[in-house]
Amino acid sequence: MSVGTFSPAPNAWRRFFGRRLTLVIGAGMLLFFLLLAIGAPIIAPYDPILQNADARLQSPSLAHLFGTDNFGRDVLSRVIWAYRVDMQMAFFATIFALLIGITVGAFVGYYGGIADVIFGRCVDAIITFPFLVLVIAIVAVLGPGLVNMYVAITAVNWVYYARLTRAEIMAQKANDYAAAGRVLGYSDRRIIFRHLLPNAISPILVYWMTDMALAILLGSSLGYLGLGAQPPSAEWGVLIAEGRNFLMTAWWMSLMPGIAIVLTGLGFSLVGDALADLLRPKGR
Amino acid sequence: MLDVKHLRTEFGTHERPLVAVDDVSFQVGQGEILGLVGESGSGKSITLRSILGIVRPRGRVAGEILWNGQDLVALDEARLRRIRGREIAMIFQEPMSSLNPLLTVGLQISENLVAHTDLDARQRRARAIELLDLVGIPAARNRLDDFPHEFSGGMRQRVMIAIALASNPKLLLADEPTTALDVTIQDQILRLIQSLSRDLGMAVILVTHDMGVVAETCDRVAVMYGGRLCEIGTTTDVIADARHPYSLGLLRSIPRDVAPRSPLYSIPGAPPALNALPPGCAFSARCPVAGRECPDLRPKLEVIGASRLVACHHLADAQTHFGPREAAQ
Repeated sequence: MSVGTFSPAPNAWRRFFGRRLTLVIGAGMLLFFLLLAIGAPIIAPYDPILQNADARLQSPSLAHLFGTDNFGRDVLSRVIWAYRVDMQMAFFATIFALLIGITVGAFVGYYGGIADVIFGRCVDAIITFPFLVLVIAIVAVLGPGLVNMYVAITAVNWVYYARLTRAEIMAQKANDYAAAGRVLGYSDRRIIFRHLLPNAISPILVYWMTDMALAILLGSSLGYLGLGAQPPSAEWGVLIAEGRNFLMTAWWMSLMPGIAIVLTGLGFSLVGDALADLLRPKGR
Repeated sequence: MLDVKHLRTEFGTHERPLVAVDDVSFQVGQGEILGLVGESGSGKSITLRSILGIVRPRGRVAGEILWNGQDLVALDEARLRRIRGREIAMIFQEPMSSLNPLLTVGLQISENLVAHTDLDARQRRARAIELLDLVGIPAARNRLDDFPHEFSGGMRQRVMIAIALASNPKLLLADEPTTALDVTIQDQILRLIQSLSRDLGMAVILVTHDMGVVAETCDRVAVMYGGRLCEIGTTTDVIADARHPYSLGLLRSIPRDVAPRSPLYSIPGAPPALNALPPGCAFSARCPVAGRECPDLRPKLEVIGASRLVACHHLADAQTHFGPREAAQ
């Protein structure tokens, strides 16, 4: 009698481990960045706005790992302090859009009918504009600054969450447990928020992760254009803008915050990807 | 207890409505099991859903649905909600999708109890165990914290029934509760429904397309076709001595004592679309004994014998057409 050992497909193991690995790396990066943001006063070696006329435009060295800018400020310290602003931006530019979008999308998806038609036209009206142009227009009207930037981004961005939620709720609504809830005499709100939404939420969370990366990009773009965070406060877009005139002589002024943006975006994307994989229903 | 009078449910525009249920009347008494039989699209599920008002807002319901003297058609959503789940409960065909996959069965039973009773958390848990026990789930106490995917199809249907029973409904609407289950499980679930009805004095309306299920379970049968009633009477009457050509056809479709590999009987044709129903008898297009007047003249339900109603112009012809085979049995 031959003895056969049953071994699960190695592929499955690798896939499982691969997923976890992405999640661990991504989450590790985000955690590290979050620590930098919270611990900036302790971690940053210099005061981010303290000017030093004797140390202007110094290239990276042991004393100034990322070099100094045209006012003699330490670029490393400014990049670290910028984590505070930019991580906040990732959160505040998206969270209200998420909440508004989910609420509107859930109701519209559940009730359908005339509300859905009106919603559809509003969405069309908003997404016809290029995202950045519309946000810039709103910031221009409200005036530059972080809070106004959050308002502007939320005003446009909620539509994407609402669309996604609407579609997911409509798909979930077709399941009998929605009808079962109605038959059991539960209120509409209970059915939407306790039964349908938890089943519909995972793609929305995944989108949220990638959207936070986009929010950082958008926020620093606006900072670069002078519409977001205002100098002298440290924000990556602002830092890149400040280094713009010294690209030939002091490349580190723009490059270092640029790298920070890329790495942070990567962290969010990795987590988003891993979540998408983990939350995706497996087989059937 | 439940008295449905001239129920009419339509969808679509007012100008060209699609009538899914047309002039359907029946009664269900306490502890009685009424079978509602017909092919797909004959309006039986819509009839059930009309009773609870869940075809609204897209469907329009007319007629009267008297529930202990109260007209459900006239009630608004908030009042109906108090009757749904508390006095009238419903279970569905697909036990796979009628449970919320993210909540444990204990939570789902307890949610119904929160909505309709004043029990506190501990009492709800005790009642949930009691209910799972009642519907025959072994080791109920241990299964309370399991999720729906940890149950088999038959067990899930039992859980659905347990949820439906949570607040002691007086009437259970069962929409093809056994269609998605295999035959042995089907039998168990039917027996469960039967015994619950007997022990709790609960009335049941059982929608099915399976005459065998009816024969086994129901006290009375209503046969529907094209949204209308063809025949309604006690199960013994209808099964042993069907009169309407459609009921006769359905009964003949059940294979009984047939030689192996011989063709099975089926009613020729397919049910008509809702927008193509003739003004007269809905079954006339497929009826073997239909006369010239049948597509234009709607037959009325007429009393035959003690307690039976049949809607057909050609009862005698139907008897002779289907007669020889029935006599041979």
